[in-house]
Amino acid sequence: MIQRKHSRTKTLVVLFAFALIVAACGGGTESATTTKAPAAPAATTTTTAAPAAPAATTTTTAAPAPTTPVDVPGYSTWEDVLAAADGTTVNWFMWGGSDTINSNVDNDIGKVMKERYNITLNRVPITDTADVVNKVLDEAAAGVDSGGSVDLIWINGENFRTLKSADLLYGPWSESIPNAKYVAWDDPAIANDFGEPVDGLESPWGHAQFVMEYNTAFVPEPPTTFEALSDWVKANPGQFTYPAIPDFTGSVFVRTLFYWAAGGPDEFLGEFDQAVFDKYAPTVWAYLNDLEPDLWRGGSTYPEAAAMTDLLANQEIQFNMGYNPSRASSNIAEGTYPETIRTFVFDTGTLSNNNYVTIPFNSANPAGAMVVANYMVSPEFSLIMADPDQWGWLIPTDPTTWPAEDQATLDSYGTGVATLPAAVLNANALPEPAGDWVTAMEAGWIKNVLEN
Amino acid sequence: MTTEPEKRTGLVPRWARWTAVTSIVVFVVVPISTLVVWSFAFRWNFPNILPTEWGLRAWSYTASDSSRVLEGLWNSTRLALLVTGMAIVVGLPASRALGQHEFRGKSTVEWLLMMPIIVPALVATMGIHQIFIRLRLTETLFGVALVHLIPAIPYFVLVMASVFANYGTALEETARTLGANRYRVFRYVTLPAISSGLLVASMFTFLISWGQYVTTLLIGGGTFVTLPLVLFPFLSGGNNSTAAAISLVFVAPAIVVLVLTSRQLSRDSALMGGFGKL
Repeated sequence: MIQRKHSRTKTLVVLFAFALIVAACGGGTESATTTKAPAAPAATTTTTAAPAAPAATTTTTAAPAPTTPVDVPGYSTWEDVLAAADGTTVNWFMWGGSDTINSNVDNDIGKVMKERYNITLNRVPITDTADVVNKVLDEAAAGVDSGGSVDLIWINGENFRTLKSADLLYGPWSESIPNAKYVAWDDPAIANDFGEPVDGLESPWGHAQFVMEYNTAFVPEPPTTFEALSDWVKANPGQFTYPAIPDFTGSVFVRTLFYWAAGGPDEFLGEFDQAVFDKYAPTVWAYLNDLEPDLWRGGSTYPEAAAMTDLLANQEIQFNMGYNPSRASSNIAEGTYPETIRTFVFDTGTLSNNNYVTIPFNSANPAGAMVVANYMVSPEFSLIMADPDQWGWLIPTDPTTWPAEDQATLDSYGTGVATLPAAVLNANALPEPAGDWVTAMEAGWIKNVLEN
Repeated sequence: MTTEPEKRTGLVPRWARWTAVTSIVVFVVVPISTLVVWSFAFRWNFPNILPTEWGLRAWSYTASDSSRVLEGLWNSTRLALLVTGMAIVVGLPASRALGQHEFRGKSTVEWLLMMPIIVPALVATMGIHQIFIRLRLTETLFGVALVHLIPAIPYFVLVMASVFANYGTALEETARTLGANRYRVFRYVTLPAISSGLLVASMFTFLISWGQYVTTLLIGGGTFVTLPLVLFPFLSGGNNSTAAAISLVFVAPAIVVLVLTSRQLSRDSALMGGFGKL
């Protein structure tokens, strides 16, 4: 008995000692990083705050070389920005749930930034962009006006609007960086993010369009009109559904229906108008309520968007939907989807929008963040992004502004196995309505369909 | 040694052992084996019982730098150990006072100690975040450890107070009258007596810290990357195989801790003896 107790005590003592040692090591590493971190913000703060500082840097670093003027807060030439970004870390907060995107970002952006500009791209994986928005709001509330922990956010729509209306963004910068010439800023679809003017506060990095995914093993001919979809659902009860609002995929499905009911998007692009809403809403609610009994599980519940990927893969439903036209191709390549999945768009068109990156007002490293964002709209990176064998994304840049040889490379690309050609997507792309319309449609769906 | 197994079979009825074994298989072995299969599956869709295509894709991603699993593992480990060490330093005196002494307002103190279990940690963390930003404790190991201490302390103190209550003060008093000083009493009387309880409480604390997501995200700001931070984005809409592979890395330490300590806990566990006495 005594022997056993002793060995137990020893285990405890050893465990505790180990805990202390590891914690001590941890403390050491941590203090090393914390002492390093404030140094960078301090430097940036002085350059941003004092107008004299950038001028000084210009004369020292860029006297002989030609300069590229930029009009961004704190810097007057791109060379200043590059000099300030040298040796820094950029904390990029982005959704981390795709191993393909994570690896691609590290390999195709992170490595290039390190080699070319000596910038460390620290990709911070998050589950929901709203978490970062809250973090920036929290920092602002606590009075952290400089040296903040977020340098770059993958963002659009509502989250951008929240930060912009709270005046918590750095800039304007995005229309002034060197590669902004490859972005069609005079195109309203780029210059407005869900109806909210971008005003140089975010830079596009990806383009998205709503597409329907279907299993050709069960649906040989996809229903490309809402009438045909309704017929199919009634003939095949239990095999169609859509995500419940406020999920943004469910929300865009309902928006697409509003456009169908109104015969086009035009009436929804301006200010919210209750009369227009009341004119078309009953048609939409009637359509959806008519479908409800024949939806998956009799419409008693609606799945999350993420779950629908599994439901389609496992043949429980035969359709999925989403904002990424090449997701089906990459899911087939990743093994998530069976090889029989293909995509289609409705004859009445589908909504499209852009993903942007934005820089919070208190970013410790706006210079580094701009260098990253600048690379993301370069023809060089757009070609990596558009390549179906690499990223296979739709690109937000305008290829007609590219050098001729880059345009030729782009033309030589095929499309992913389940991805629609860019020409088909573009021909059917519809703009997003402004934010107030989205709010009204979502609230209306909950009241008239979910609770009905 | 030879008499021990007989004693065990005598103590525990046959049906109880079967129930225990069945629950372990149903609730532990089956889910974990599913994860193992998933992590090596490349394509696994209904109605196939087994994956139609196998592959190492999930594991090669998990092992790559992009997954940040190694970094998360290291951060989670040192964080959980630090939280456990802090819980021992803070919780041991508190649980001794609660377990062995009667004093005015004791029930109030006990009630306050339970608060973190009743009030969601998230609510408290939101307020703490503001203060930590001003104190520059966000994004640091120490700051995150402090926040993990909030949900961990009630469990630690609950277990240890029961242990102290069971064991009483008589033995220590005897040792003192025999001339042992305070250190020797602690080293040779108190510590051996409470050690298995302390092991259980430390395990609880370790695992509570290990599983924290929201508190780590808020205080660590996403830049202090632990395993749950790497894993959770995959659970909400990622690739199933990758989620399974990272999940296995996530549960592995818990299983290792359980196996290493199960021998110590299998008999005369202080936890079993005193739970609910507080």
